[in-house]
Formats: sequence, structure tokens, C-alpha cells
Amino acid sequence: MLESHIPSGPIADKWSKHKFEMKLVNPANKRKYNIIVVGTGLAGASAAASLSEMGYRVQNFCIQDSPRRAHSIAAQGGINAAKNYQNDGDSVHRLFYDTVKGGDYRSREANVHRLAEVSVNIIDQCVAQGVPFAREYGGYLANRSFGGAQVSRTFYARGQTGQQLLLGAYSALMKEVARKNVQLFTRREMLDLIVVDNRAVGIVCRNLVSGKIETHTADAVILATGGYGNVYYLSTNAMACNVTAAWRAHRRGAFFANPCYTQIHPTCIPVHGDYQSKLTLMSESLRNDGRIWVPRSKGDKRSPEEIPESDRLYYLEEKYPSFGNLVPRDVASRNAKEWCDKGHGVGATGMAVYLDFRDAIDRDGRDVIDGKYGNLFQMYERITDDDPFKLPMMMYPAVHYTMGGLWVDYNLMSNLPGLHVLGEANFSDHGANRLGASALMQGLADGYFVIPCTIGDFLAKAGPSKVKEGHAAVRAAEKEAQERIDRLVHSKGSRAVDDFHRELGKIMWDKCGMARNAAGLKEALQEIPRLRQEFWEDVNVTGSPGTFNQVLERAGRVADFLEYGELMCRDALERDESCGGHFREEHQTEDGEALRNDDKFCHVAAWEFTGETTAPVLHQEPLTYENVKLTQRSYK
Amino acid sequence: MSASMSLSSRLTTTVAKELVVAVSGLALTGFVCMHLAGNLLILIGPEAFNAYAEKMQEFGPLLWVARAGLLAVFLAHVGTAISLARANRAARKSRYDQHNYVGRRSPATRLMLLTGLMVLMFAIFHVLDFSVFGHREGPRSIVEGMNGGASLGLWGVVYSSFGNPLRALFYIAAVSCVGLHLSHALSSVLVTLGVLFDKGTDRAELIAKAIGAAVALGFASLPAYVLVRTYLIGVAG
Amino acid sequence: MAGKTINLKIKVWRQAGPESKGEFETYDAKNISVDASFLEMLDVVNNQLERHDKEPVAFDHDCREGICGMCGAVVNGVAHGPQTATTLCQLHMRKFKDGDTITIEPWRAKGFPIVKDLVVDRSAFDRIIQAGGFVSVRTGQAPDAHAIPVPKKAADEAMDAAACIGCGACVAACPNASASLFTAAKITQLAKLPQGHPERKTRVIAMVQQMDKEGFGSCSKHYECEAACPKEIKVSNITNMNREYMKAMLSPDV
Repeated sequence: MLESHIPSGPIADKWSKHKFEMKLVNPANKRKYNIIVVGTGLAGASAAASLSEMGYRVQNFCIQDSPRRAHSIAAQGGINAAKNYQNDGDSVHRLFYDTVKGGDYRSREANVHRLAEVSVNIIDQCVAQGVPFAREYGGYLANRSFGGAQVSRTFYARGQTGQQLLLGAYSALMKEVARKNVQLFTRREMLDLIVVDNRAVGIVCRNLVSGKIETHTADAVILATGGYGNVYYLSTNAMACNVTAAWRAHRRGAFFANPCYTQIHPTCIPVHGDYQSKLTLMSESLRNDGRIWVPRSKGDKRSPEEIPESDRLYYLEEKYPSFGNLVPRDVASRNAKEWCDKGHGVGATGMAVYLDFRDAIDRDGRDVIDGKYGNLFQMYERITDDDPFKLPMMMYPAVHYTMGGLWVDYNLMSNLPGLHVLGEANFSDHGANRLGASALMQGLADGYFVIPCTIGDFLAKAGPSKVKEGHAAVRAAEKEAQERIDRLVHSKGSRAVDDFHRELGKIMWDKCGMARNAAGLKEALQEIPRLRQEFWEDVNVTGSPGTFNQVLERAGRVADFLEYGELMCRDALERDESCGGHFREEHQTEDGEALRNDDKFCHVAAWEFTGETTAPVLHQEPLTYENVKLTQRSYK
Repeated sequence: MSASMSLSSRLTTTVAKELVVAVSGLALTGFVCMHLAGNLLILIGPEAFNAYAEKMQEFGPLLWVARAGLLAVFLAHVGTAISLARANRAARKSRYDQHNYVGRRSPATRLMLLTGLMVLMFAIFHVLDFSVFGHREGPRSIVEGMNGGASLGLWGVVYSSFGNPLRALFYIAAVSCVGLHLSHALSSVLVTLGVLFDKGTDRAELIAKAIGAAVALGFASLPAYVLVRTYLIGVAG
Repeated sequence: MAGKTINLKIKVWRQAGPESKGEFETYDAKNISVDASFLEMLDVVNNQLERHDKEPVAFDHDCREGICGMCGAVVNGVAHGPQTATTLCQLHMRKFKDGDTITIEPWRAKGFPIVKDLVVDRSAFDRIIQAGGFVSVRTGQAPDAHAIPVPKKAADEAMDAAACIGCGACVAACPNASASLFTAAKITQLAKLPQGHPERKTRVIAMVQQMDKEGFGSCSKHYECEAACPKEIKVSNITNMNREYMKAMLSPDV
């Protein structure tokens, strides 16, 4: 049933071969096709702009007041590309290899290779758009090494690479809006997917200003709606990030793949109170100079500068002498949790570790450190009121990125014909763990270079959709969405939406967070349906449905998270191995590293929705590795 | 897009209008400086000043051309500035309950429209005063106790005018407005003309303030001179 | 960081819709942690309103880390509040004192109609970019990234301008509600880079025309925009826009 449509032949030729073999839509016919793109982040904006340039008619939707605000904007570090401008031995094959290995051998080889191939075109495209990448004095692009990579392949624009790449894609999108070939719908939230005769033909969305339910039909639908990190309530995701679009598509038949894969970023500012609404990430680059430690003795309440060297435990340096503080994200995160759980954590809550720049400042001088990290230090001080030049930073891991997503084939089309999924919303390229500076690469690869080729194949074969606005299925989907909203507004209960979200987040963080075990997951699978039932009985949604109503918006999202969280736990329980961001405590090496089970779990777990009262059905897509040898990751 | 690239539409945007204000303002500043230089001859004495006034008359019809040009520039400056000010007011229909200004803007910046309008009114009065009502010969040109009661020409007209403390104070107030107006305008104009960049801002503002002050003091020195001579020293002294 | 709290009153603008008449309402904000952000303080007030079955104060926000440009309000008469170079979401309550009354108003400008309470419609900014804030390059047309070297200084200056987050604080703070700083920053970014040169003349004219059409005022050099900008975009961008405009204004090849 799951046909990934991976082309045959040598890995390096698959994409070229596939591009030749795909059917094309005649240039004159492209304007006859309407494509809906939901989302205006890197993947959505780049896809909408590129498809419009080719001649397709595009309707583009975003939840914010402007497409320029999608959460891709918050990515700090950089974007990888196999340009080998540094002459340090990088190549498409090496980027491919690193990404497959970094993903702990749970991604599709062919997709990753294509990603590495088009990575070079992305940089060209962005430079041509006027993205102000960092440059050297000769006028050529600067690179840095990122996330422990052995080569310098990361391109960056200060600490705002995501912003600059997004504004590049946004400007391309605005160009097409000006040409009136892209119709832009801002402040819209997708509430459902319209499927007729097993083909995705439109969406239902809510106009967040007027509260009106709208339907839009098209010949193909592209979801680029980001990840589901906010299921944890607290994450580094923006407040509006949600799973609704993907989840509603799942309920309409699209398979959800690997929902348990979540990336926890090791260096975030710790939680400091109940009122806290979100977590702030501090760039991974800080670990290049900062040393991570906790007090050697439990419950040591001394202020950090009073703790002598002999009483400090640099646990990463001790445990991983060759990588030290630069171990991958999942390893760094788990170790922080382990020491805090043992009672060595610092700060008011005991849920933090130190990231100390004292030695770096002594070695390089304050000016050098200020030059490298000045902005980050200021940001830290603004939030915490502590000066990192005087006191070590306090850090704790936080949910940051989700590798799971809607299942897609090599053409980025889900099992539902006509529904394509791009960027963080799909599952395909990062396996069980994403490398630093690879999210931006994937979003833009999907939008600029993959979907413009592959959607033509679908449209040429499937032809135009015959479903128009008045179709019974369209009206039915609209009615269903309206009823759901009415139900939310009418359940005048006693608890605020955020209370439920917070409670769900706690269950997910405790039982399906950085480390999971069967017992905890089974508990969560009991608790979540209970909480969901309580939500529908006792939630209080103020205001009316036909207006700008932010409480109602949040309520709808939390309702979907309450369904989605259960699927995550189910997947986490089913995947009885550890890999990448999915750490099952039952499966670890003697050193506490993730222990994979390649015999039983070298596959994609794709879940099929079967109904609200029946269990989802698991489909497996086996992963085969012909070009990379599966090994146990080691960072000793 | 709906952008029009025709010359007329290029010349009527707010940026183009700011340019009109800037360029006309610079021309007016040039005029004001020349006017000041001429007026300072008053301090030297009646002969020097009256000779300068005579010399100006010799330009004949050319003088009228210059006057018409000056009037056109003046009208362009005032008209465009008022049209911008109206549009700027309209750009904020509902006012803030509280609006605290935290930038570097000085009182001069805030008062540009007011000082501009004051200068406009003064200019109208000033021109009427010296063209319609002011005669080179006649009672106003005679200063009591000077020149044996004979006419002192235009110098005498000016001197008699400033001998009236109310007129003198009015004049000082007006030229203060000119100075204040210039102290913002002369650095602002550098932004409009695309030549002032970050590092130069402080210095440009300082220089603009200095020039504004110099112009105001220069003009104000005349009534001050007359008042001091009339009331502290006595005319004959 | 242990739990110091303060009690405040907030006087906040409530307006049901674009055409409604708005007014201020005052609420208590009790036991606010000084470590909370300004928006988290509003969350607390809103939760309290919800508990009393009142409609919470609508305000735009998203990333809450100072980069998306979604949040913003005039706090005690200053766009984004009292801390310089800081968006509202990054302003923390330790900047206020126990017992303070805080006045919170939306951005007020003809170009930014009020949607509800503190939420305004900033689509005018999108239309200014649509007028020309891009390089007309289609996907796939680009030459190798190293085909055209860009001097480091130009790239750095372009980046300074490109740091704009489009929040609208410049308009909110300007006595003329001018969008000059926003418009100029994009014009400057693309004028500094060789990739932006083929269209630089038509770009500046089209963007300025659109800025006018949206009902924003002109720049009278008050420098309030620069003071309010959370990303410290400089007025020299406006100088640069004017220079670009002059070159284009009389140019025969536009």
C-alpha cells in the first residue's frame, strides 16, 4: 500500500533520471491549474512563488497577518550546502552521508541524496534574490562549521539566517502576488482538507478576522504547515504553530509518519514560572566556547563563582573526550536531563545546567567572546537579567523541531493523491534526528526545487479536478468545520483552554519527552483520552465564533493536539528501540547511548486514521540502505 | 503593480515634495544670508547701508525678475510644506492618549510648522512694511537728534522702526523663528538630499544649530544695536 | 530569579472592530513576576478576564523571541515600551515598578487600521514590498553564488538594513505616521547589492508611490523611528532612499 516511488538506479542518478521520466504539463496549460499552498514559511513561500513563476495559479494561505512572519524566521544558525567553497573535502555525497548518519539511519536514502544535490542551487537562488549572506573580504561567501560537522558547509546571515532566507522567499512571493498570479489569504487557519474520490481537492479554513468559514478548491493541495512541537505546550516554536492542518489531513486519510520523532534542543533558557508561555533557544554555536557543567555534589546551592574547579563536573567532557561539549543535540540534551534528574541541577527549579564562558573569556579575552556571541549574551541578559560575562548561563533542553510528519513519497505526495506535504510538516529527510542547519535546507529544497518538478507529474496524470465550490463534499466539510466550532463555543465550561494545553504538555514532556519508557507511555495513553474528554466537557471558550477570537483559535488547536498526542505516544510505544531523538530507556548501550534495533525497526512507521473510537493502523515502509553502512553512532 | 513611471507622477510623491521643500529652503537660506550680510551694513552707518540699497535699485527690471523668482521659491516652499503637513496630520487620524518622544528630535524639529508659519506672517508684514508703507524719504527716515533732522534714507527708516521697542521685540521674535527653523532645516535637508549618513548626524546637527543661531543673532543684533543706542547711550552718543 | 512579584494597573485600549468606537479600560494585574515578559503579563490578565467570562484583550504575537515582528503596542507613550532595541515580547516586567499604571495602546496610523483592541492591519507593508521590494529572479535562473563577488562592506550594510522585522514601530512612533524607515530599509538592502541594481530605479519610485498611496506620512526627520526600532535600523536608510529617489526621479531610463 505504501509505494514510495523511489526511482531505480544508482543513488547519484536517481533525481536526474526521475526528472526526465516524469510527465510534464505544457506551459500553456499550466495556467489552467489551481494549486493551494497552505503556509508561507520557507517551504510554503518558496513553493508558492516558484509554482506561480512557472505559470500555475496559486492560492496561498497563512495564519499570521503577513506571510513574512512564518516561524522559519526564527532559525538562527545557518543553512547547509555542499558547495565545498572551503576546499575541505565536502561533496554532495558527504552531505548525504552525514545527514543519513545524523538521522540515526531512519531516513530515506534517495530523498536525502536529492536534498544534498539541490542544496547548492538553494544558495545560488538566495544570493540572486539579495539575501545578505555573510561574506569574506574578497567578496565571497563565508562558511562556518555547525553542529559538530567535520567540514565548513554552513552559510549564514549573522544570527538571523532563517529570517533572511524567509524574507528572500517572501520577496519572491510578493513579486508573484504583484503579478496577480498568487492570491494571498492572510489570517486564515486551515481547519480541514476536502477529499473527493480519494483526491485532495481543497481546504476549509477560518478567516481569523471575520470568523467566517471559507472553502477553497483546487487541482492540488500543498501543506507546508510546520511541525507539532507545541503539543508539549512549552517549546521554542512560535505560539501559533500547531498540528491542526496536518492532523485534519490525517483524519481525512493521509498517513502520519514517525510522530514520535521529536528533537530536543540542548541549549534553551530554563523554565522559570507557571506563567511562562514559551521557551527561548540559544544558538548551538555557544557550545563551541562554553563549557557545560553541574556541581559535583547533589543539591549544591552555592553560587557558581563560589564553586571551585574541583567541585565542578564537566560531564560531557568527561564522558565524551573526543567530542566533549560538541556532541549532537540529542546526546547533549539527554545528559543534561540525566544530571538534573540525579539532583545536580542548578537554578531555582533545579532543572538547569551551567554553560560557562569563564575559561573562554580568560583564554580569548572579553572582546573576542563579545564579538562572537554579543547578541546572544544580550538576549540572554534581557530575558534572565543575568550577565553571562559574570555568571555562567543556565540552560535546559527544550522541544525544538519535529522530524515526524505526514507521510510522503519521493514526489512529496502523501498517500492521498493531490495532497503534497513540504518542509517540517512532512517526515522524509531527517530520520530520527535532524542535524543543525538542515531544516532551512530542506524547507527550501522542497519548495524551490522538488515540488515544482514533481507536481507536474501528478497534474499531468490526474488532470484537472472537477470539484467546484458547490460540490456536496465541499459543503459537507464546511458544515463539519462549522459544527466543531459551534461545539467549542457552546461548551461553556469552567477551565481555560491554556489549562488543558499545559496539562497535556506536562504529560507529553514527562512521558514522551527526552526519554520514554513503556510504562510511562502506557500511562500517557490512558491519561490523554481522559483529558480530551474533560476538555470537551469543561473547556471555557469566551467570545463568539463570528468574530476575531483568539481563545477560539487556541481551543481548536488544543483540541487537535489532544488527539495528536495520543498518536505520538502510541508510535513511541510501538517503536521498541532507541534512535536519534526517540530514546527508549529500555534500549541503551552500557554508556547510555541510543541502541537501535535495525532488524525490527529499520522502517518508517506510517499511521492510518480509522476513526475516533478505533485504533489507528500501522503501515510500515521498509528502509533500505545501499550506500551507507548502518553503524552504532559513537562520539567518545 | 499600479506604479506609474511618468515624470509627473515621479515629481509628485512625498519624497519629491520633500525635495522641493529642501531645495527651495536652501535657496531661501541663501537669500536670508545675503539679506543678513546687507543688513549688517546698518551697523557701519547710513552711508554704507544707503549706498548698498541704492546699488540694489540699479538692477532695475532685473530686480523684479529676482523678486518674482524669490516669491516663486517662497511660495513653492510654503505651499509644498503645508501640503505635506496636512498629509502628515491626516496620516494619524486618531491620536495617542500618550505619546512620548524618545528620539533625538529637538524643540526646533517639533516646532517646524509653527516657526515656518511665523516666518511667513512676518515676511508678509515685512515686505508690506518696507515697500508699501516705508518710504526712503519722509518722516520715518528722519531720526530725532541725528543728521540735523534731515532724512537718513532707508537707514533712517530702519533705525526709526527699531527705535520702537515693540517693533524691535517683534522683529527679534521673528528672526528667532528663522533661526530655530534653520537649526532643524539645515541638517534635515542633508537627509532629504541624500548626503547625511549616520556618523555625520551629530556634527551636522551641531553645525545647523550654529548657523541657525548665527543668523538669528545676526539679525537680532540690529534692533539690539538701535535699542542700546537709543535707550542706554542716547542717540547722539 | 526567585519569585519577586509586583502589582500593576493596566489601562488598555479596547475596540471591538475597525468601525467601532474604542475606549480605555483599566484592569488589575496582580502578582506579576518580574521575570515575566510583557506579553506574559497580558496573558495573566487575559486568563483572569476569561475566568470572569469576559473577552480577553486581543493582541498580535507569535514567536515571542523578537524576530517575527508580529507583536507591538504603544506602552506608556512609547512604541514597544521603555526598553530600547527591544520588541514588546522581549520587554520584561522588571522594567516596571510595583503600583505603576501602564497605558497600552495600539499602533495608531491611517495606514494601519485597527482590527480589534491592540491588533492592527499591517498589510500595507506587504503591498509596499509588492510594489518592488524584490529582485525579479525566477527559481532556477540564478548563476553560481560566487559569480558576482559582493564587497564585505556592502554585504554588511545590506544586512544591517535587512534586519527589519516589519513590526511597524517606526510608523507608530513617527509624528507623521510615516513608513519611510520600513520602505527605505528594503530599498537600501537591495541597492547595496549588485543583484538589486537592474531594478533599482523603478523599485524606489514604485515603493515610494505605494507608501504614499497607503496613507503614510512623509519623513520630517524627527528620528523617532530610529529610536523606536527594535532592530536599530538607522535613519541613514532614509538618506539612502532619498538619494536613490533623486537618481531615479529625473532619469530618462526609468
